[in-house]
Amino acid sequence: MPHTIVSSSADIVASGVEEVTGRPATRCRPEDRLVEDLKVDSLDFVRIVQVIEDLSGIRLDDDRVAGAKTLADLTAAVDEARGGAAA
Amino acid sequence: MFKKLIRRLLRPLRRKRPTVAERDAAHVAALRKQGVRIGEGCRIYTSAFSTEPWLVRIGDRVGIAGGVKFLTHDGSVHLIRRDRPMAQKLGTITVGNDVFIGESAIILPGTTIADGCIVGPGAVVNGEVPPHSILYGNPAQIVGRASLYLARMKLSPETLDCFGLPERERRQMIETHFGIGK
Repeated sequence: MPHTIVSSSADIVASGVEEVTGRPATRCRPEDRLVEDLKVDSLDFVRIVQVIEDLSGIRLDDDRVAGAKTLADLTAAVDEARGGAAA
Repeated sequence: MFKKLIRRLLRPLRRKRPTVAERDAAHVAALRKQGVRIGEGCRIYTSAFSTEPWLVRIGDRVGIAGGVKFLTHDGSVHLIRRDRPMAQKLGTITVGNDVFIGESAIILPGTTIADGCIVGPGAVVNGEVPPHSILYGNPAQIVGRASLYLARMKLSPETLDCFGLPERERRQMIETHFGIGK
């Protein structure tokens, strides 16, 4: 696991995507769709969430995060779990 | 006419084809007879329980796909038999409740897979696996939570509701989903 210094929820999500899919974090956009644009399957999704949780030290609620369609959805879930911290 | 009559006379003698559930239950019963300790509500599609099937314990509601192998001994012990002719190295295997083990996974001696785990196809599993893990690969690595994988699967448009449908209807639904037409 890389020791990335991250501050915002969007950065954390982008780092998770980069770690699992190889897509550079700098190219991740909030509107990117997990399945259609990033080709993330259910297993990749679980891995991305695991990386996000490892990086942020938070635990995302399964039911809250399972329906995420875009990176913005994931970022919102991370924000919520962090107690509404600004992304 | 004559053929019809013969068929009618033979009908009571003909064996009724067992249902899938009956076949599953019969297989579990046969494995229990070999000594595998199996809980309730399991669907097991492998017979590879090594030479010590009584060292394997399986919980309730466990699904085990075809080709899965449970290894209860380390065959490399053969190489020390010049010094210890009767040596055997054995290990128990325990699988918890509500576990799924995918096609052709290999479970090594001394392994414990806790409740709620999903083992990916082809995984080679060794040691202690914590509850509700999803693991893949050789050696198997935990990649996340099984509960999240299942929650995502429930919502996925790629998950079809065709289990238990008559075969023709099931195939039609699947072909339509994948855009395979005649």
